[in-house]
Amino acid sequence: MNARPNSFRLEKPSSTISDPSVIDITVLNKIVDAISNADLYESEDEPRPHALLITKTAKALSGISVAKAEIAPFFGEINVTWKEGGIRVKATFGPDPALFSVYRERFEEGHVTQSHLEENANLDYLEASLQWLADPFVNV
Amino acid sequence: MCDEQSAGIGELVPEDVTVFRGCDRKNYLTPLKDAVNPRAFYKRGTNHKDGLSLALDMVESVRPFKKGNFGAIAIRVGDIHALRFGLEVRFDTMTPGHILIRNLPCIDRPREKETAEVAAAELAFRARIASPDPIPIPPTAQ
Repeated sequence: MNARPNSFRLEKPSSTISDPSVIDITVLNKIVDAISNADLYESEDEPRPHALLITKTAKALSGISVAKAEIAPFFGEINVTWKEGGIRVKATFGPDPALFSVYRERFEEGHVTQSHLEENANLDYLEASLQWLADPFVNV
Repeated sequence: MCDEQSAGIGELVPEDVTVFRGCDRKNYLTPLKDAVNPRAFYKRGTNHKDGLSLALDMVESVRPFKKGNFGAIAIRVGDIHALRFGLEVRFDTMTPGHILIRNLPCIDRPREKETAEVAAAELAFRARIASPDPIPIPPTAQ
């Protein structure tokens, strides 16, 4: 198989997070760095993301660029946010490892002029949203 | 909305007052500390039963944080009331100087989540950074 370094097969599930057999180590490291950062938690009592959620998130994002993404824990969730111009795309994994949603918005002149929350999202929806982020004029 | 508790909710805060939200997470500000992150205005129904907490004074906004703080943000009450979500900024009659944003949708409730994201983004846009650095907390007068 011709695989790029740090880049692996991406499976696209129909309604939940994928479970490919390989993980992009760069993505995993970025997730682990974020969830290990005590400064990103409200308190020591705040629930941490479950180990299974961490690996599922890393697998789901393997093949998607997270270089410019902000990754943060939030009460057991893993939030991954991309912003470009007035577009924000936020993927929320967990806290239950089966949960995956994608929120996206267009922000213009101080107001959100377009938004959508996709509950039970899939990676196709996330990729389409990131395509929209890259080119807001694309029809997604 | 998840403001289930109404005890101690006082009058509306005047429009021209600036209120402060302490940063108990580093990522309430953007990594370059040049803007406010919508995350600063996420309200959870399970632990903000009376509204989202702010304070009349910057130091008081971070005083409750046991593990330290990452600065504070400021926002004018009139800017909050002007949004289209029916938000109300009210005094807490039980704790002097404590302020609550009422009617803010909850980020942890599926039916309110999208509106919570929209409201948080619009509040963050109107907020400014009052202190990008940790605020020293002087001891309270005895």
